[in-house]
Amino acid sequence: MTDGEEAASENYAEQSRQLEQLLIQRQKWLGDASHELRGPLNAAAMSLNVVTRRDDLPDGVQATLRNAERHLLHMSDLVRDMFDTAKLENDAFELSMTADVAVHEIVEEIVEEFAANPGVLSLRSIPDHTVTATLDRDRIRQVVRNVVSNAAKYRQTDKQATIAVLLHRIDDAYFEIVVDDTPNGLGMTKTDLEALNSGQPFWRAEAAKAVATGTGLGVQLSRKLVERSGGEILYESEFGVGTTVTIRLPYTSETDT
Amino acid sequence: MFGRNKNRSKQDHLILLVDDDKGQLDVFATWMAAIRPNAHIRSTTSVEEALNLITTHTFSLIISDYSMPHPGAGLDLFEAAIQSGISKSNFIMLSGTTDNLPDEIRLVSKGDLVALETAIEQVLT
Repeated sequence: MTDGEEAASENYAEQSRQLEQLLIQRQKWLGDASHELRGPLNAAAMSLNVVTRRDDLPDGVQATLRNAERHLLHMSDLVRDMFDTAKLENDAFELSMTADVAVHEIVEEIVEEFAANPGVLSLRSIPDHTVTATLDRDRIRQVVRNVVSNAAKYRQTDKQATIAVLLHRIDDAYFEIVVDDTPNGLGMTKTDLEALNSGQPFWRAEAAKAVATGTGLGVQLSRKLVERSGGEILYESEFGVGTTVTIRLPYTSETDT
Repeated sequence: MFGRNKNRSKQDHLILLVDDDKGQLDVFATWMAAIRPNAHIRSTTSVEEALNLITTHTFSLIISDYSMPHPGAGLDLFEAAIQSGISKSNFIMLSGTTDNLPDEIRLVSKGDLVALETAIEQVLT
């Protein structure tokens, strides 16, 4: 190796070290910023949660405070989604896998939460089986909540949402959670579906933009979280009718993190 | 002050809350008192004080933030708690992130009050 080649090699190694340090600092900053932003939001939500436990509140006050609590927690989730997306883009993300997670309980919790939503006419949960799996409980809860939340939010403007959530085994290796908002859902066009499947961050269906605000982060984040868990999300949709979202996951994940 | 008391009743749990943010810790203690009115609640913003407390008291449950302020401070507390004889399942870690935590730790996402209340019920019943 000539002196020039040796110098170039050392220069390359030094630049690699610096780049690695920058990535580490970036990961730390993303984690710290998420933590610091969510802390006050969660404290405010917790304070409201204490008040709403009282049974002597005037009519309407409890519902109003619960609504405020729900919005604060939603904002906290948005902050988490934003930073998680950034971490996933930088390949700086790890799942925290836990054995024997009761998936049917996660589904029931979320169904109970959204059944109280005034925009929801009916929300049926049909868990055919009790399903326990090895996965990141919080992240799968985040995914299911995101999908059900979208079904409740993006509905035909003159109708209430009708949502069915099914949980069933496929075989010994995989199970499915299916969220179906037909026939009162917005549905997507073929163009929408293509854009969705291309994985563009911040993408939102045209019809959805006219109905409710959103960031477009949740859909892509959910897809990446499920894929990291060794599964996949499938969308079937008809414009003006609704969408069926199938979350297919393995009982035991071999993550690629 | 609550010293070691093996005769404490089933409802008379001693709970330790640890978070370096005083404002959030106070809210957390108020919330805990609302969901567990019969429990004795100790709270501290100091990891050092928490380490002292777990050597002199028998806690039914410890709930700690993970980042105080540096990520991993909660992990130090977890390991000290296990060494002092507390069951792993009686320790709940709160975090805004799930990165790099051992599977054996019961982790609850900060802000997931339903999951936190469920985890507390599982530990104390």
